Amino acid sequence: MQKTIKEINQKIKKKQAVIVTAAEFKKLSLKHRPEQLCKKVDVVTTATFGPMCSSGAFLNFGHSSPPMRYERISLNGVNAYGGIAAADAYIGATEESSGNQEYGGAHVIEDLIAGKEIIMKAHAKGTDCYPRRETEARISLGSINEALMFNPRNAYQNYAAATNSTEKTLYTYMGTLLPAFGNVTYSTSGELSPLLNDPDLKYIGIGTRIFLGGASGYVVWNGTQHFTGREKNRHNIPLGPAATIAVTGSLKDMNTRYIRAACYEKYGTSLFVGIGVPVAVKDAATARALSVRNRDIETLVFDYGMAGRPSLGQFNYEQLMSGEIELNGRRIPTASLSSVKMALEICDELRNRILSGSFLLTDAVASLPGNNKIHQLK
Amino acid sequence: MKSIYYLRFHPEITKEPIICNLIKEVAVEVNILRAGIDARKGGFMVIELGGEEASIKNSIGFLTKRRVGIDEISSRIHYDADQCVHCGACTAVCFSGALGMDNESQLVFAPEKCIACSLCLKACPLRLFSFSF
Repeated sequence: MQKTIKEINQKIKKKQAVIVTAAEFKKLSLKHRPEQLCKKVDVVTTATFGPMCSSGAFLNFGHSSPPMRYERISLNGVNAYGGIAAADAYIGATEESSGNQEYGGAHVIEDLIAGKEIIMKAHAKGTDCYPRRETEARISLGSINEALMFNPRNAYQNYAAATNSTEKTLYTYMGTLLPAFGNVTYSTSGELSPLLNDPDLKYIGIGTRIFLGGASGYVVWNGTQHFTGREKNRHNIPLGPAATIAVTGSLKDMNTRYIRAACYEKYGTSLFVGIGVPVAVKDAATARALSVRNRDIETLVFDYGMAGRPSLGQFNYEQLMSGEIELNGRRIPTASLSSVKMALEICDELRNRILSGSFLLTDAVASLPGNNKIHQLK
Repeated sequence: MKSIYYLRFHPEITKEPIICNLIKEVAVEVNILRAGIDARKGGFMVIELGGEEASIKNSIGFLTKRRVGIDEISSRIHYDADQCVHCGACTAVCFSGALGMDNESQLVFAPEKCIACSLCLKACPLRLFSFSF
Protein backbone atom coordinates (compact mmCIF):
# COMPACT_ATOMS: atom_id res chain seq x y z
CA MET A 1 0.00 0.00 0.00
CA GLN A 2 1.27 3.43 -0.95
CA LYS A 3 -0.37 6.77 -0.07
CA THR A 4 0.56 10.22 -1.37
CA ILE A 5 0.57 13.47 0.61
CA LYS A 6 -2.07 14.76 -1.79
CA GLU A 7 -4.39 11.87 -0.93
CA ILE A 8 -3.79 12.32 2.79
CA ASN A 9 -4.47 16.07 2.57
CA GLN A 10 -7.74 15.36 0.74
CA LYS A 11 -8.76 13.03 3.57
CA ILE A 12 -7.82 15.75 6.09
CA LYS A 13 -10.02 18.27 4.25
CA LYS A 14 -12.91 15.79 4.19
CA LYS A 15 -12.37 15.06 7.90
CA GLN A 16 -11.71 11.43 7.09
CA ALA A 17 -8.03 11.25 7.97
CA VAL A 18 -6.86 9.16 10.90
CA ILE A 19 -4.29 11.12 12.86
CA VAL A 20 -2.64 9.74 15.98
CA THR A 21 0.12 10.98 18.25
CA ALA A 22 3.47 9.18 18.33
CA ALA A 23 2.64 7.84 21.80
CA GLU A 24 -0.67 6.39 20.55
CA PHE A 25 1.02 4.95 17.48
CA LYS A 26 3.58 3.07 19.62
CA LYS A 27 0.70 1.38 21.45
CA LEU A 28 -0.97 0.44 18.15
CA SER A 29 2.32 -0.96 16.87
CA LEU A 30 2.30 -3.56 19.64
CA LYS A 31 -0.89 -5.09 18.21
CA HIS A 32 -0.64 -4.50 14.47
CA ARG A 33 1.86 -5.16 11.72
CA PRO A 34 3.31 -2.23 9.73
CA GLU A 35 1.14 -3.14 6.68
CA GLN A 36 -2.00 -2.90 8.82
CA LEU A 37 -0.81 0.30 10.51
CA CYS A 38 -0.31 1.93 7.13
CA LYS A 39 -3.91 1.12 6.22
CA LYS A 40 -5.30 2.28 9.56
CA VAL A 41 -3.35 5.50 10.17
CA ASP A 42 -2.63 8.45 7.85
CA VAL A 43 -0.55 10.78 10.00
CA VAL A 44 1.55 10.41 13.17
CA THR A 45 2.41 13.56 15.09
CA THR A 46 5.92 13.64 16.62
CA ALA A 47 7.45 16.36 18.80
CA THR A 48 10.29 17.56 20.95
CA PHE A 49 10.62 20.34 23.51
CA GLY A 50 14.18 20.90 24.66
CA PRO A 51 16.87 23.50 25.11
CA MET A 52 18.25 24.32 21.64
CA CYS A 53 21.13 26.79 21.80
CA SER A 54 21.41 27.19 18.04
CA SER A 55 18.33 29.37 17.83
CA GLY A 56 17.60 33.03 17.20
CA ALA A 57 15.59 35.50 15.20
CA PHE A 58 15.99 38.01 12.39
CA LEU A 59 14.25 41.27 13.19
CA ASN A 60 13.48 44.26 10.99
CA PHE A 61 12.90 47.31 13.19
CA GLY A 62 11.72 49.71 10.49
CA HIS A 63 13.68 52.80 9.41
CA SER A 64 14.18 55.80 11.64
CA SER A 65 13.92 59.38 10.49
CA PRO A 66 16.46 60.62 9.51
CA PRO A 67 17.52 57.14 8.31
CA MET A 68 20.17 55.17 10.10
CA ARG A 69 22.04 51.94 9.50
CA TYR A 70 21.78 50.23 12.90
CA GLU A 71 25.32 48.86 13.28
CA ARG A 72 25.88 48.16 16.95
CA ILE A 73 22.56 47.13 18.41
CA SER A 74 21.40 46.11 21.86
CA LEU A 75 17.98 44.81 22.90
CA ASN A 76 17.37 45.10 26.66
CA GLY A 77 21.16 45.20 26.96
CA VAL A 78 21.75 42.08 24.83
CA ASN A 79 23.86 42.56 21.71
CA ALA A 80 22.17 41.76 18.41
CA TYR A 81 24.14 41.29 15.21
CA GLY A 82 23.72 44.30 12.92
CA GLY A 83 26.19 43.47 10.17
CA ILE A 84 23.41 43.15 7.60
CA ALA A 85 21.18 45.69 5.85
CA ALA A 86 20.23 48.96 7.57
CA ALA A 87 17.21 48.00 9.65
CA ASP A 88 17.84 44.26 10.04
CA ALA A 89 19.45 42.40 12.93
CA TYR A 90 19.86 38.86 14.28
CA ILE A 91 19.38 38.13 17.96
CA GLY A 92 20.94 34.84 19.06
CA ALA A 93 19.56 32.82 21.98
CA THR A 94 22.88 32.43 23.83
CA GLU A 95 24.01 36.07 23.63
CA GLU A 96 24.13 37.31 27.24
CA SER A 97 23.18 40.74 28.51
CA SER A 98 26.17 42.88 29.51
CA GLY A 99 24.74 43.48 32.98
CA ASN A 100 22.90 40.29 33.84
CA GLN A 101 24.21 36.81 33.03
CA GLU A 102 20.76 35.34 33.60
CA TYR A 103 19.16 37.41 30.83
CA GLY A 104 20.07 36.77 27.22
CA GLY A 105 18.89 36.66 23.64
CA ALA A 106 16.55 33.80 24.53
CA HIS A 107 14.80 36.06 27.06
CA VAL A 108 14.52 38.87 24.48
CA ILE A 109 12.83 36.40 22.12
CA GLU A 110 10.46 35.14 24.83
CA ASP A 111 9.65 38.72 25.91
CA LEU A 112 8.90 39.71 22.31
CA ILE A 113 6.53 36.76 21.88
CA ALA A 114 4.90 37.66 25.22
CA GLY A 115 4.14 41.09 23.72
CA LYS A 116 6.47 42.98 26.08
CA GLU A 117 8.28 46.18 25.13
CA ILE A 118 12.02 45.92 24.54
CA ILE A 119 14.47 48.80 24.72
CA MET A 120 16.46 48.95 21.49
CA LYS A 121 19.63 51.03 21.36
CA ALA A 122 21.73 51.44 18.23
CA HIS A 123 24.89 53.23 17.19
CA ALA A 124 26.34 53.83 13.72
CA LYS A 125 29.21 55.72 12.13
CA GLY A 126 26.82 57.66 9.86
CA THR A 127 26.97 57.72 6.07
CA ASP A 128 25.66 60.04 3.34
CA CYS A 129 22.67 57.77 2.83
CA TYR A 130 22.23 56.88 6.54
CA PRO A 131 23.28 60.02 8.42
CA ARG A 132 21.84 59.25 11.86
CA ARG A 133 24.37 57.93 14.38
CA GLU A 134 22.37 57.05 17.45
CA THR A 135 18.91 55.93 18.39
CA GLU A 136 16.96 54.56 21.33
CA ALA A 137 13.45 53.20 20.94
CA ARG A 138 10.89 50.98 22.59
CA ILE A 139 10.00 48.16 20.25
CA SER A 140 7.51 45.33 20.47
CA LEU A 141 6.43 42.49 18.25
CA GLY A 142 3.55 44.59 16.97
CA SER A 143 5.71 47.63 16.17
CA ILE A 144 8.41 45.95 14.09
CA ASN A 145 8.09 44.72 10.52
CA GLU A 146 9.30 41.13 10.61
CA ALA A 147 10.40 38.87 13.42
CA LEU A 148 11.56 35.69 11.79
CA MET A 149 12.81 32.87 13.96
CA PHE A 150 15.68 31.20 12.15
CA ASN A 151 17.31 28.36 14.03
CA PRO A 152 20.38 26.94 12.29
CA ARG A 153 20.40 23.67 14.26
CA ASN A 154 17.38 22.20 16.02
CA ALA A 155 15.73 18.89 16.87
CA TYR A 156 18.91 16.80 17.01
CA GLN A 157 18.38 13.20 15.95
CA ASN A 158 19.69 11.63 19.17
CA TYR A 159 22.25 13.18 21.50
CA ALA A 160 24.94 11.84 23.82
CA ALA A 161 24.20 11.59 27.55
CA ALA A 162 26.57 13.25 30.03
CA THR A 163 28.27 12.35 33.29
CA ASN A 164 31.24 13.59 35.34
CA SER A 165 34.07 11.42 36.72
CA THR A 166 35.96 14.27 38.42
CA GLU A 167 35.79 15.47 42.03
CA LYS A 168 34.33 18.84 41.01
CA THR A 169 30.78 19.78 40.06
CA LEU A 170 30.63 20.71 36.37
CA TYR A 171 28.16 23.34 35.19
CA THR A 172 27.38 22.55 31.56
CA TYR A 173 24.75 22.93 28.87
CA MET A 174 23.86 19.36 29.90
CA GLY A 175 22.89 20.73 33.32
CA THR A 176 24.66 20.39 36.67
CA LEU A 177 26.89 17.30 36.55
CA LEU A 178 27.63 16.24 40.10
CA PRO A 179 31.12 14.92 41.04
CA ALA A 180 32.16 11.26 41.09
CA PHE A 181 29.46 10.05 38.68
CA GLY A 182 26.78 11.72 40.82
CA ASN A 183 24.29 11.77 37.96
CA VAL A 184 23.76 11.27 34.23
CA THR A 185 21.78 13.75 32.13
CA TYR A 186 20.36 13.27 28.65
CA SER A 187 18.30 15.38 26.26
CA THR A 188 15.70 13.92 23.92
CA SER A 189 12.02 13.14 23.71
CA GLY A 190 13.12 9.67 22.57
CA GLU A 191 10.43 7.70 20.76
CA LEU A 192 8.37 10.91 20.34
CA SER A 193 11.21 12.82 18.66
CA PRO A 194 10.64 13.82 15.00
CA LEU A 195 13.99 12.80 13.51
CA LEU A 196 14.09 9.50 15.41
CA ASN A 197 10.73 8.58 13.87
CA ASP A 198 12.06 9.30 10.38
CA PRO A 199 15.59 7.91 10.71
CA ASP A 200 16.37 7.94 6.99
CA LEU A 201 14.74 11.37 6.42
CA LYS A 202 12.25 9.97 3.94
CA TYR A 203 9.47 12.38 4.94
CA ILE A 204 11.27 15.31 6.59
CA GLY A 205 13.07 17.44 3.99
CA ILE A 206 13.41 20.97 2.72
CA GLY A 207 9.98 22.61 2.73
CA THR A 208 8.37 20.30 5.31
CA ARG A 209 5.73 22.24 7.24
CA ILE A 210 6.19 21.90 10.99
CA PHE A 211 4.87 23.20 14.30
CA LEU A 212 7.45 25.70 15.53
CA GLY A 213 6.88 27.35 18.88
CA GLY A 214 3.14 27.43 18.31
CA ALA A 215 3.40 28.76 14.74
CA SER A 216 3.34 26.94 11.43
CA GLY A 217 6.97 26.93 10.37
CA TYR A 218 9.14 25.13 7.87
CA VAL A 219 12.25 23.03 7.59
CA VAL A 220 14.44 25.19 5.34
CA TRP A 221 17.66 23.19 5.12
CA ASN A 222 19.61 20.57 6.96
CA GLY A 223 20.79 21.94 10.29
CA THR A 224 24.46 22.70 10.92
CA GLN A 225 26.57 19.70 12.03
CA HIS A 226 24.12 17.47 10.13
CA PHE A 227 25.83 14.09 10.43
CA THR A 228 23.85 11.42 8.64
CA GLY A 229 27.01 9.33 8.31
CA ARG A 230 26.80 8.44 12.02
CA GLU A 231 27.01 4.72 12.80
CA LYS A 232 23.56 3.17 13.28
CA ASN A 233 22.43 0.39 15.60
CA ARG A 234 20.47 -2.71 14.51
CA HIS A 235 17.21 -0.74 14.80
CA ASN A 236 18.48 1.75 12.19
CA ILE A 237 18.95 4.45 14.86
CA PRO A 238 22.15 6.54 14.92
CA LEU A 239 24.27 6.03 18.03
CA GLY A 240 24.60 9.66 19.01
CA PRO A 241 24.15 13.14 17.52
CA ALA A 242 23.24 12.72 13.83
CA ALA A 243 20.77 14.55 11.56
CA THR A 244 19.63 18.09 12.39
CA ILE A 245 17.23 20.59 10.81
CA ALA A 246 17.33 24.33 10.19
CA VAL A 247 13.87 25.76 10.81
CA THR A 248 12.05 29.03 10.40
CA GLY A 249 8.73 30.60 11.37
CA SER A 250 7.28 33.94 12.43
CA LEU A 251 7.60 35.03 16.06
CA LYS A 252 4.33 36.88 15.51
CA ASP A 253 2.47 33.55 15.37
CA MET A 254 4.29 31.94 18.30
CA ASN A 255 3.24 31.32 21.86
CA THR A 256 5.37 31.50 25.02
CA ARG A 257 3.93 28.16 26.06
CA TYR A 258 6.14 26.59 23.38
CA ILE A 259 9.14 28.96 23.41
CA ARG A 260 10.81 29.47 26.79
CA ALA A 261 14.07 31.14 27.73
CA ALA A 262 16.43 29.00 29.80
CA CYS A 263 19.48 29.76 31.89
CA TYR A 264 22.04 27.08 32.75
CA GLU A 265 24.20 27.89 35.74
CA LYS A 266 27.71 29.08 34.78
CA TYR A 267 27.02 28.17 31.15
CA GLY A 268 24.58 30.81 29.99
CA THR A 269 21.27 31.21 28.28
CA SER A 270 19.51 28.91 25.85
CA LEU A 271 16.06 28.56 24.37
CA PHE A 272 13.50 25.81 24.90
CA VAL A 273 12.00 25.30 21.45
CA GLY A 274 8.86 23.27 20.87
CA ILE A 275 8.89 21.50 17.52
CA GLY A 276 6.24 19.19 16.14
CA VAL A 277 6.42 17.29 12.87
CA PRO A 278 3.54 15.33 11.36
CA VAL A 279 4.83 12.24 9.58
CA ALA A 280 2.66 10.90 6.75
CA VAL A 281 2.26 7.12 6.94
CA LYS A 282 2.86 6.67 3.20
CA ASP A 283 3.83 3.00 3.29
CA ALA A 284 4.60 0.02 5.51
CA ALA A 285 8.28 0.98 5.78
CA THR A 286 7.29 4.38 7.23
CA ALA A 287 4.95 2.64 9.68
CA ARG A 288 7.79 0.33 10.70
CA ALA A 289 10.12 3.27 11.33
CA LEU A 290 7.38 5.03 13.33
CA SER A 291 7.09 1.96 15.57
CA VAL A 292 10.51 2.63 17.11
CA ARG A 293 10.49 2.40 20.91
CA ASN A 294 12.70 3.93 23.59
CA ARG A 295 14.39 0.57 24.10
CA ASP A 296 15.48 0.59 20.44
CA ILE A 297 17.04 4.05 20.67
CA GLU A 298 20.53 3.90 22.11
CA THR A 299 23.08 6.54 22.93
CA LEU A 300 26.53 6.84 24.47
CA VAL A 301 27.31 8.31 27.89
CA PHE A 302 30.18 10.80 27.65
CA ASP A 303 32.43 11.78 30.54
CA TYR A 304 32.37 15.60 30.48
CA GLY A 305 35.14 15.65 33.07
CA MET A 306 37.79 14.16 30.75
CA ALA A 307 39.46 15.75 27.72
CA GLY A 308 37.93 14.40 24.53
CA ARG A 309 34.82 13.29 26.47
CA PRO A 310 35.43 9.54 26.27
CA SER A 311 32.39 7.28 26.04
CA LEU A 312 31.74 5.19 29.15
CA GLY A 313 28.97 3.01 27.81
CA GLN A 314 25.96 2.54 25.61
CA PHE A 315 22.40 2.70 26.95
CA ASN A 316 18.91 2.81 25.52
CA TYR A 317 16.33 5.44 26.49
CA GLU A 318 14.12 2.96 28.32
CA GLN A 319 17.07 2.53 30.71
CA LEU A 320 17.91 6.25 30.82
CA MET A 321 14.27 7.26 31.38
CA SER A 322 13.84 4.70 34.20
CA GLY A 323 15.56 7.07 36.64
CA GLU A 324 18.86 5.22 37.02
CA ILE A 325 21.42 3.24 35.06
CA GLU A 326 24.22 0.92 36.10
CA LEU A 327 27.61 2.25 35.09
CA ASN A 328 30.81 0.45 36.12
CA GLY A 329 28.87 -1.55 38.71
CA ARG A 330 27.32 1.54 40.33
CA ARG A 331 23.72 2.67 40.12
CA ILE A 332 23.64 6.29 38.96
CA PRO A 333 20.54 8.49 38.92
CA THR A 334 19.54 9.85 35.52
CA ALA A 335 17.67 13.01 34.59
CA SER A 336 16.31 14.56 31.44
CA LEU A 337 16.80 18.12 30.19
CA SER A 338 14.14 17.85 27.51
CA SER A 339 10.46 17.83 28.47
CA VAL A 340 8.59 14.67 27.47
CA LYS A 341 5.41 16.17 28.94
CA MET A 342 5.62 19.19 26.63
CA ALA A 343 6.48 16.93 23.67
CA LEU A 344 3.30 14.94 24.39
CA GLU A 345 1.33 18.17 24.55
CA ILE A 346 2.72 19.37 21.20
CA CYS A 347 1.89 15.99 19.60
CA ASP A 348 -1.71 16.49 20.81
CA GLU A 349 -1.88 20.14 19.76
CA LEU A 350 -0.53 19.37 16.28
CA ARG A 351 -2.97 16.49 15.92
CA ASN A 352 -5.86 18.83 16.77
CA ARG A 353 -4.66 21.43 14.27
CA ILE A 354 -4.51 18.83 11.50
CA LEU A 355 -7.93 17.47 12.46
CA SER A 356 -9.41 20.99 12.32
CA GLY A 357 -8.03 21.41 8.80
CA SER A 358 -5.79 24.35 9.75
CA PHE A 359 -2.55 22.44 9.21
CA LEU A 360 -1.96 20.46 6.01
CA LEU A 361 0.98 18.23 5.22
CA THR A 362 3.63 19.03 2.61
CA ASP A 363 5.78 17.10 0.21
CA ALA A 364 9.44 18.02 0.69
CA VAL A 365 10.82 20.03 -2.23
CA ALA A 366 14.22 18.41 -1.80
CA SER A 367 15.74 15.76 0.44
CA LEU A 368 18.16 16.52 3.23
CA PRO A 369 21.66 15.21 2.51
CA GLY A 370 22.28 11.58 3.41
CA ASN A 371 25.61 10.07 4.42
CA ASN A 372 26.93 13.50 5.40
CA LYS A 373 30.18 13.92 7.32
CA ILE A 374 31.19 16.63 9.75
CA HIS A 375 34.57 18.29 10.19
CA GLN A 376 36.55 19.25 13.26
CA LEU A 377 38.32 22.61 13.38
CA LYS A 378 41.93 22.03 12.29
CA MET B 1 5.96 10.53 62.15
CA LYS B 2 8.93 12.35 60.63
CA SER B 3 9.41 16.01 59.77
CA ILE B 4 12.34 18.04 58.48
CA TYR B 5 13.19 21.41 60.02
CA TYR B 6 15.60 24.21 59.31
CA LEU B 7 17.19 25.56 62.50
CA ARG B 8 18.92 28.93 62.85
CA PHE B 9 21.54 29.37 65.59
CA HIS B 10 22.41 32.84 66.86
CA PRO B 11 26.12 33.18 67.93
CA GLU B 12 24.99 33.64 71.56
CA ILE B 13 23.55 30.14 71.79
CA THR B 14 26.37 28.20 70.13
CA LYS B 15 28.05 27.34 73.47
CA GLU B 16 25.22 25.16 74.69
CA PRO B 17 25.06 21.53 73.42
CA ILE B 18 21.45 22.08 72.39
CA ILE B 19 20.94 19.02 70.21
CA CYS B 20 22.53 16.71 72.80
CA ASN B 21 20.22 18.12 75.49
CA LEU B 22 17.22 17.84 73.17
CA ILE B 23 17.84 14.12 72.70
CA LYS B 24 18.35 13.62 76.46
CA GLU B 25 15.27 15.54 77.56
CA VAL B 26 12.77 14.69 74.84
CA ALA B 27 12.25 11.16 73.57
CA VAL B 28 12.85 12.09 69.95
CA GLU B 29 15.00 10.77 67.14
CA VAL B 30 17.24 13.41 65.62
CA ASN B 31 18.90 12.92 62.27
CA ILE B 32 21.21 15.78 61.32
CA LEU B 33 21.00 16.12 57.53
CA ARG B 34 23.07 19.23 57.01
CA ALA B 35 24.82 21.68 59.28
CA GLY B 36 27.09 24.70 59.20
CA ILE B 37 27.63 26.42 62.55
CA ASP B 38 30.48 28.65 63.62
CA ALA B 39 30.81 29.56 67.32
CA ARG B 40 31.25 33.25 66.50
CA LYS B 41 28.93 33.60 63.52
CA GLY B 42 26.15 31.19 64.38
CA GLY B 43 24.70 29.14 61.53
CA PHE B 44 22.09 26.64 60.50
CA MET B 45 21.19 22.99 60.87
CA VAL B 46 18.75 20.82 58.92
CA ILE B 47 17.33 18.04 61.08
CA GLU B 48 14.77 15.34 60.71
CA LEU B 49 12.75 14.73 63.86
CA GLY B 50 11.15 11.31 64.25
CA GLY B 51 8.81 9.97 66.90
CA GLU B 52 5.34 10.45 68.36
CA GLU B 53 3.51 13.64 67.44
CA ALA B 54 3.79 14.80 71.05
CA SER B 55 7.58 14.40 71.18
CA ILE B 56 7.98 16.36 67.98
CA LYS B 57 5.80 19.10 69.44
CA ASN B 58 7.87 19.02 72.66
CA SER B 59 11.08 19.22 70.64
CA ILE B 60 9.87 22.36 68.90
CA GLY B 61 8.96 23.83 72.27
CA PHE B 62 12.39 22.86 73.67
CA LEU B 63 14.23 24.50 70.75
CA THR B 64 12.07 27.62 70.72
CA LYS B 65 12.68 28.11 74.44
CA ARG B 66 16.44 28.06 73.78
CA ARG B 67 16.05 30.76 71.12
CA VAL B 68 16.74 28.46 68.16
CA GLY B 69 14.97 29.75 65.07
CA ILE B 70 12.89 26.92 63.68
CA ASP B 71 11.11 26.57 60.36
CA GLU B 72 9.44 23.66 58.68
CA ILE B 73 11.30 23.54 55.37
CA SER B 74 8.20 22.82 53.34
CA SER B 75 6.78 26.19 54.34
CA ARG B 76 9.92 28.03 53.27
CA ILE B 77 10.60 26.64 49.82
CA HIS B 78 8.65 28.01 46.91
CA TYR B 79 8.21 26.32 43.56
CA ASP B 80 6.36 28.11 40.78
CA ALA B 81 4.54 25.06 39.42
CA ASP B 82 2.49 27.04 36.90
CA GLN B 83 5.62 28.09 35.02
CA CYS B 84 7.27 24.64 35.05
CA VAL B 85 7.98 22.97 31.68
CA HIS B 86 8.73 19.59 33.32
CA CYS B 87 12.17 19.20 31.74
CA GLY B 88 13.60 17.33 34.72
CA ALA B 89 16.89 19.24 35.10
CA CYS B 90 16.19 19.83 38.82
CA THR B 91 15.79 16.10 39.46
CA ALA B 92 19.42 15.61 38.39
CA VAL B 93 20.64 17.29 41.59
CA CYS B 94 17.91 16.41 44.11
CA PHE B 95 19.15 13.63 46.39
CA SER B 96 16.57 13.91 49.13
CA GLY B 97 13.96 12.58 46.72
CA ALA B 98 11.84 15.73 46.97
CA LEU B 99 11.90 16.18 43.19
CA GLY B 100 11.04 13.40 40.77
CA MET B 101 9.10 12.58 37.64
CA ASP B 102 5.80 10.69 37.73
CA ASN B 103 4.55 8.15 35.17
CA GLU B 104 3.16 10.96 33.05
CA SER B 105 6.55 12.66 32.74
CA GLN B 106 5.40 15.39 35.06
CA LEU B 107 7.59 16.92 37.75
CA VAL B 108 6.44 16.06 41.25
CA PHE B 109 7.63 18.11 44.19
CA ALA B 110 7.30 16.63 47.66
CA PRO B 111 8.33 19.54 49.94
CA GLU B 112 8.22 17.35 53.06
CA LYS B 113 11.30 15.49 51.78
CA CYS B 114 13.28 18.66 51.01
CA ILE B 115 16.49 19.18 53.03
CA ALA B 116 17.11 22.72 51.75
CA CYS B 117 20.36 21.82 49.97
CA SER B 118 19.41 24.53 47.46
CA LEU B 119 20.98 22.79 44.44
CA CYS B 120 17.68 23.00 42.54
CA LEU B 121 17.71 26.80 42.72
CA LYS B 122 20.57 26.89 40.22
CA ALA B 123 19.80 23.68 38.35
CA CYS B 124 16.35 24.87 37.24
CA PRO B 125 16.85 26.61 33.86
CA LEU B 126 13.72 28.67 34.50
CA ARG B 127 14.72 29.62 38.07
CA LEU B 128 11.40 28.49 39.53
CA PHE B 129 12.65 27.56 43.02
CA SER B 130 13.34 29.96 45.86
CA PHE B 131 13.89 29.85 49.64
CA SER B 132 12.78 32.36 52.20
CA PHE B 133 14.61 31.71 55.47
